[in-house]
Amino acid sequence: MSVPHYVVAYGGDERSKVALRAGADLARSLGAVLDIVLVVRSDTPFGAAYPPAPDVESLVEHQAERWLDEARASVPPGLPVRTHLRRHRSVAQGILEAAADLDARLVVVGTASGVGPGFTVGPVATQLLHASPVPVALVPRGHESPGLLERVYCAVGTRPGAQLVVREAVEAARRAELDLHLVSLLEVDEHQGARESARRRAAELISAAAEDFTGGRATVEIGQGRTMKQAVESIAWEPRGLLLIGSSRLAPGRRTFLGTTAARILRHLPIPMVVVPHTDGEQR
Amino acid sequence: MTTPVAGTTTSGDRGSGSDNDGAGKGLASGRVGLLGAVVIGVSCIAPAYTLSGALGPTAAVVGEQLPAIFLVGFLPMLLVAVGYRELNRAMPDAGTTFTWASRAFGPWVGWMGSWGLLAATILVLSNLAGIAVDFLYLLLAQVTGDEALADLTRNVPVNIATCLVFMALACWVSYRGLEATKAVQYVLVTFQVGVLIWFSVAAFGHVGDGTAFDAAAISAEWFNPFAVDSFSSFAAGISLSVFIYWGWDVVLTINEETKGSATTPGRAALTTILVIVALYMAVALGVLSYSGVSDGAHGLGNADIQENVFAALAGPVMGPTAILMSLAVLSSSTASLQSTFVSPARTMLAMGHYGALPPSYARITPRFQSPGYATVAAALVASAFYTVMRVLSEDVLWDTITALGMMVCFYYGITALACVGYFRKELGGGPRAFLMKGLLPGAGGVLLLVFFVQTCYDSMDPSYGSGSQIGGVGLVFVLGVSVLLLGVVVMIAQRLRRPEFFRGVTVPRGDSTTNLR
Repeated sequence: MSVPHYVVAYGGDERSKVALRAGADLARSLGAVLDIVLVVRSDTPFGAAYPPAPDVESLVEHQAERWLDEARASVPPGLPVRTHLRRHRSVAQGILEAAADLDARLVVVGTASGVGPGFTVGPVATQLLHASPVPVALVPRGHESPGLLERVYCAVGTRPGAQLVVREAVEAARRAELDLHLVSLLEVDEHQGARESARRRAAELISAAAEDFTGGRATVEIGQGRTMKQAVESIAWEPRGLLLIGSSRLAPGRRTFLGTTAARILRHLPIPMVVVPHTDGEQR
Repeated sequence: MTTPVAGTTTSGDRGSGSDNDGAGKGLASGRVGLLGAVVIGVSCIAPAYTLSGALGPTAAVVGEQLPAIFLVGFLPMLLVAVGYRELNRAMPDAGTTFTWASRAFGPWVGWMGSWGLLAATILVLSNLAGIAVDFLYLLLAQVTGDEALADLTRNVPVNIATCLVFMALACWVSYRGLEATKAVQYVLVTFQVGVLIWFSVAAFGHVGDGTAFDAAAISAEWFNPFAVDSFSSFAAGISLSVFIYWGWDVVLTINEETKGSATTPGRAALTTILVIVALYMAVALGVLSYSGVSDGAHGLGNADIQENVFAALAGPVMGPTAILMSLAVLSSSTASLQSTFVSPARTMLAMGHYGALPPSYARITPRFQSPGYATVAAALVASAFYTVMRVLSEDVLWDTITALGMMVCFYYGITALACVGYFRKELGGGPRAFLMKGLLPGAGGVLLLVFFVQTCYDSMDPSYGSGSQIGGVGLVFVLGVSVLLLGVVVMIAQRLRRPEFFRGVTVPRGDSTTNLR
């Protein structure tokens, strides 16, 4: 198998630097080539300035090249890195086209500075999440990138088909020789009965998934709380971890789509999260 | 479609070459057809806004010859646009006036030309925001039926506060690098043009059924530019009409993106100008026929309505549908307010980049890829300028429009002459080169500078324009001259602190035959 390429959507701002550090850790852990892509947004003629303004695209490109140079210099030595400057009307589309041209296996993107810890999704990340045919890694704001990956978490949902993502997680964990943890995150209300049955159902599903896909080698954890925040916080996330989560069933074709549960998990998660598009059971 | 940028691929392991697959696909992205180009052109001219700003002041100087001046005023615009097009082809890189004039005539002229452009954009920002405020309160009055709301715009603190809110919002949108989309532009342009046509039709309707204010039959004399009473009035009228066509040259610079045959850009520019001239004629004739030029309540000669003719006449002419005019002008001016921020910000970005302004102006916000620092600077200067003007002058819109006309004449004049200067060694290369690179832009440049000087001279008279004055000198003169002198001071300060640009290091002087490094 050829060396996989990981694309980092880079823009020179703080969140891109965070994404780059996380992307570099992922690429080193999983033996990938890192492709840093910066898309310079070109003007739409319909946004023409009044009165006629100079075209400053070349100055923006000039600046962008410097950002890319800085980006390259910040990557730990030894990791194969390439930088790419592209131009597109839409930054997200430009990133996706670069990913397609490079046959990338993962797109890494930083997330917006929301309030408090965890992350909210910015416009570029949102567009990527709604159109990417390859997995998208969202890196929380201010993520420290503590080093090489140690553990892969995989979120197992309770809806039919939500367990397929485990296959990807198994593959990633096997390649990098990492621990695999299957997690189920439950929001449960006060009601004792409902809580028990939900918990039991999740436990059954996750054990079945562990058995089916990993031959029982994966560790299983159930996080629960009255809110998703509490459920997420009830798990002691390994800082050098990564959470894989399946795309929503609403995703058109084999593209990513951030489901509502995933979006809420995202808001409180301290580690990067990879949204994996539906594979329809095929092996990639 | 992604366009890998030729020559700038910063591939890590060289030879991968993966970034060159798309070469040549470049300009195919988001191409615009004839209709799209015309929509862009009309939106840049922003007819509803320009007319509401310039109709009154122009009528004040040229009276019945309003249609003649609107027709003749297009000529210098056309001549300059020819020069723009040639320069844009030869040096498409960042800058326009700034780099072009620096290259042709050296850094000092380039700097001042660019300062003129900056001053013009600051003036137009102030004026746009001022117009938006007027029509916002007019619209509120029309919606609620409470006449008193329309007078809020006369309340100086309320007016200034509202204006600053508009300015801040437009700055924020521009800072984030947001641009109007195709759909928005189509809707805005269709609405504006529709309302202006309806205004004109309604005015003629009143003339036809005898309910006009001061009905007058269209006369051939209205179209005779020589009937304007003096050269001063003529020059003032032309300066103003240069402003009403300002923006048309955009159609010529989007030519690289237009689809179809090579003739599309030319046809788009021509179609745009026909649409605009027809629209201006319809409105000018409608207004003249309806109002006459007397100084009666709704007469164009009435100084009280000249500052904002549409605000005064939309009610009597359009009746209950006058609310549409408020909406059209408000949408036109707020849309332009946002797109106008782009111009000074980019100009300052280019000047900062080449060392003509401190490097902070060259800062590009990574997240939005916009000249953030320069955008905020433009907003602060325009806000401060408007505030001072609103306090100093009772007719701030009128005075800013007049001063604006002067500044546009100044920097367009320099730009047009830069074309002649830059191509001076090619002018003997055949009749086409002589005409397009020499005679036409040269004539345009000289004409505009003559109008500039004449307007400057005339505006010393304290009764000039709206009649605002400071110490016995017309406010427009004080405004125009002090802005230019301020430019000289800033330029000298910049020369002392950062001499590279002024030594011709960053933008070396040259002509079309000089090899660029």
